Amino acid sequence: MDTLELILKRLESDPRFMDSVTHWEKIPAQKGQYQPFPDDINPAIRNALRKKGITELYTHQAESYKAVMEGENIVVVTPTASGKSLCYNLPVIQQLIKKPASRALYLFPTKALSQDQQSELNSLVNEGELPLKVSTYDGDTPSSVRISARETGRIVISNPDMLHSGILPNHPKWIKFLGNLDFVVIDEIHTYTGIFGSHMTNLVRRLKRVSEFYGSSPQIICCSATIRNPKDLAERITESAVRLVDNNGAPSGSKNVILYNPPLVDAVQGIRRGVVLESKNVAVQFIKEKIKTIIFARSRVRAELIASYLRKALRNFFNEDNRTRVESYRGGYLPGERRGIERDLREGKIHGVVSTNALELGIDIGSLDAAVLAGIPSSISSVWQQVGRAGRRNTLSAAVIIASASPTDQYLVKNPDYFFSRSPESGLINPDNMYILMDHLKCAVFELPFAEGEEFGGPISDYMAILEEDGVVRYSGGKWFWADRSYPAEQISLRSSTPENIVIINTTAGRNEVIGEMDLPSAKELLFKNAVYIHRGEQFLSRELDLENKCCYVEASEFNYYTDSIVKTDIKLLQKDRQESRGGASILLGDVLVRSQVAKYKKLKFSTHENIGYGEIFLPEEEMHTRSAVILLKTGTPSGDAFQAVPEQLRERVLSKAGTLIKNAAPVFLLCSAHDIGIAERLKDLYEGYPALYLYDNAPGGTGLAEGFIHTADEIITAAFEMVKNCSCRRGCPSCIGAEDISGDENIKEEVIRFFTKWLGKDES
Amino acid sequence: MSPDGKLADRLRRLREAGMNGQPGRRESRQTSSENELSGWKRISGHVYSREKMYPSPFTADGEETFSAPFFSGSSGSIGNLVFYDLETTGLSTGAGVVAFLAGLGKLRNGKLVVKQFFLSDFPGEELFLSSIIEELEDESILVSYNGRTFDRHLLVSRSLMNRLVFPSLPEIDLLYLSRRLWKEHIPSCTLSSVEENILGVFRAHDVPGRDIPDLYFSFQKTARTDLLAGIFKHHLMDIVSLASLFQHIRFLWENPSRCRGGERYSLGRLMLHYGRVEGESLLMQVWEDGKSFSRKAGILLALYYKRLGRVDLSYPIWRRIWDSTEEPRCGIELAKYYEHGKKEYKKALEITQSMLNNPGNMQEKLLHRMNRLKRRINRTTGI
Repeated sequence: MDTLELILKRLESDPRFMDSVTHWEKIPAQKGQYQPFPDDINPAIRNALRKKGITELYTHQAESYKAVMEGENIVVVTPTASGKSLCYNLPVIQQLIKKPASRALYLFPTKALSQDQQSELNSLVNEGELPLKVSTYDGDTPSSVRISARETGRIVISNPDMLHSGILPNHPKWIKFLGNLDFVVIDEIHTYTGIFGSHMTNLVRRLKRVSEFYGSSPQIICCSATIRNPKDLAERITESAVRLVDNNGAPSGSKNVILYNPPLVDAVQGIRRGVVLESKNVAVQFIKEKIKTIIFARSRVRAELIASYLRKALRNFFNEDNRTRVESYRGGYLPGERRGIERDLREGKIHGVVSTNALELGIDIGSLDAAVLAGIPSSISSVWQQVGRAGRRNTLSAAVIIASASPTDQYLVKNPDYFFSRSPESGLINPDNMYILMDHLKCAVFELPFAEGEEFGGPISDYMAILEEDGVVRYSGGKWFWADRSYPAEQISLRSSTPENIVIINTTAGRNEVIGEMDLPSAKELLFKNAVYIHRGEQFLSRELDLENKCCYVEASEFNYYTDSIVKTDIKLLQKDRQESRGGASILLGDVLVRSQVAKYKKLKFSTHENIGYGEIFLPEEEMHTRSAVILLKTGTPSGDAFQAVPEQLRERVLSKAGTLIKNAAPVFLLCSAHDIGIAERLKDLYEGYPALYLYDNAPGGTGLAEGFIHTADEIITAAFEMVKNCSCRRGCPSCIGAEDISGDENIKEEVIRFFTKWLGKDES
Repeated sequence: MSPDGKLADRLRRLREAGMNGQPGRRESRQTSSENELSGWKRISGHVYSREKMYPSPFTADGEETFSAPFFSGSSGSIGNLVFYDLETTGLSTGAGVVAFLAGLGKLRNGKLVVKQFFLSDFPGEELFLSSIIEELEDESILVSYNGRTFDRHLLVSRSLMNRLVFPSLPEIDLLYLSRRLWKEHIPSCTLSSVEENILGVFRAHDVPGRDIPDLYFSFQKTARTDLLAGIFKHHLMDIVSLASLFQHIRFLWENPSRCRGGERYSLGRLMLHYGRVEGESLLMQVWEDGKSFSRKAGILLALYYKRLGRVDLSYPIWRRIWDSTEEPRCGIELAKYYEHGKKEYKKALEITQSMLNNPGNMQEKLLHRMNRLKRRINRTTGI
């Protein structure tokens, strides 16, 4: 019996540990399913693979090869470490050797993944002495190498940002490449959701348009982690028919996946032991026995904290021989430091590594034996990517997933089915988001004039008319031409508009030190003047939030209350697209105008959450045009009748709590974070006069979340209900409806449960 | 992404207008009315041309030849030179930037004849480009100012996009030569700065280059040809200056003795760069003068001699500079010379130690050298 097996046995018989375990899944080992190399494969490739120890293909690799050879676009969905890159490398290299002019473009969402792929391809090409040049072309590529990359690179590895601002706007330099572009590989396609994904479709439109101009029409090969709708997402991004390949034939060792909910400290308020200390405790069990372990933390600070706690804990056991090594790994380290840690991991010199999700994607660190997830990542596909970091082809591995107090974590840890049966989450995008579309149309017309009647995902003459009014395009001779001195791609970023951060400055006793930073929207809600702000356990009072200079001055304080801002949201339905009966309510979809203002705050007493006063906040109003789903609690529908049964004086609060729950449940099903969704409630909506919940896309123009909500409304509403029903607190806590004033008479939590029970027609018992 | 709240309203307004079947949209688009441009000949559609004649800056006619550094080491015929320049709609070389004015200056019968082509609207681009290409011959040698990274590149790209082939011809970019000759001596090496500071030409009422794209776009929207006059003149002056500048540099190259002061140093450096031995005597004059640039000239010369394997000639220069200024580059060269050449380790050590007294970024290397020298001294003295 090996060490890991012994540790697992020990944990399983430890009642204190098992009390916190909500589920223990033992996934048996899988045998590999193989197929021989196809006959037509070039002997040089076969030889190169053989040198690397590959003598036959997994079933999904064989199917991918066949499908690509038949000219199909494909999306390959298989777990981490299943030989995914051979699914595209094999057919691409085969074709590139056969046709010496042919070229391929590989797109990865991060530079680290590009580097990884470059070294993998290099080793294949070198082993087989294949006549192919593989070039990386990204922001780090020196200009001397850039020319040779475009002139002679047969496979060019890049990222969407570089394609957007470097390659496409300069396409005449790339004529040799684009004119012979036969393959585009888009890996990690599940990361292209929301704003980034909506940009991605438009980027693919531009790439296809320019390629077509030079006479090529590339085949597209996508890869995705396991999500609910890989084929759909791939088809939305490529706007082409795509064949799904998901017959994973890779072998895997047996795996133990343990869901762990830290024990309650205060049952009334639903407070649990912190995820940092619990993760440390669990990880120590593995590391002290020299089991190679990776710990994933949700933030950089937490990664450092856990690492230092681990080192402290291990000092007792192993300082003398000094052989146990724990490192932290996160963004913000120098590239050299990172490469060093990666290398030592691969070579097995590090026993424990505490990382942010920086190590989640692709980077080759070899295989580890155990993974500890300190908090559940924002999506289930990330959970599996992180869990997949532990486990080799044929040995036992373990992963412990530790829930934080967040509502989503608490929901998931109690609903293991979401991990072990079909993935619940859909990747959603909205390529026709008017703002995103407009941005890309500017880039596209800069790249090539638009002819009258030409489409870009749809008709474009309205957009061109606007650009013409703005004087940046010119209509002449049946075409629209770019007619402005600017370079449009330069001003457009594909990543979700990174809000500028507010720097938090501690001015206590004449000091002037930066203690942290916060994104702008959160700062408005947490750092307004007179807010009580808790930073790493210390209490501060905000003296001034200076939006112009992007900083906030705080001072140490000792109040017996904390503050909670009240965001006043005014929402107006501009246009209704459709209305459907779903989830026991009438749900409509349309365009909305959201005006929001942080106008007031509550002072809440620590421990009881008693409301002891209000204050004013003076911050400017914000306006956004976006897409929204509107849940109308119409009389005569189960939702409407359930709501009528709520005592009148509690209706407003119950509706607001229901909204919070739905907002927190949605990210389980829609590949996004709770921050991407906005919620607003109306006791009497202007549209049809019923109570209504608006669930809107928190990005101008929308990113497909409102549409996605309609499709999964039943599941999301049920999950919202379960979230509150199964929460162990008595009267509301941050893990369900939010902390509540526990001094009052009414129990809002019970009212909310009653409301949902009735709405969903569940049994009252 | 700019959350322009008005975009939605504008789209709705357009769509409603479209649904109401208002037909006037096509007509409301402003197309440039093709007012005749006075003095220009309309080739066809949106493309115009004209010719202007100027006195030639060259003494003799086309048969005259010139030599390196101008191109590929050999000589060329003045008659094959084509001085060219473009005015464009933007400063990047991205696919959306278009050239709308091209000028080609050639020597004909003792005159500089400049032919300009003007593109009044984008659909004429193919004709515009093919007209330019037709002006070029197999023997042509292009002369430009910053053409190698900008104008030439743009012509090649635009031709590609219009399914045309821009010929591959040799090009002399005077920006590079101007930088080598004058960057230490004048505030900047833009064409206008070189004109003023070197050629002594001052332009009156010139249109600043950065205003040109917007003037052109305004012309397209309003069809006001008066907006163009300034651009056309500016562009002609650029080409005339190119020819004068070419002749000026050529004159210096062929008559190095006519150089003054720091220019002599720069020309010497340029000549050595192109392998012309005359550079050595120029630099030697500057070195021996002992005035400004003397030390720089000395260092260049010493390195030149070192490359030739004549460290004996380099040594006195390094020694003199080191003794007067403790210039680190010379110190290192001297230390190397004493250590490896003369095996005089003590002298080398002395210099290295004195360099170590001045904090710098070479501490590590110096320490390494010092330790090695000490070992060598110990070994030779037998301790």
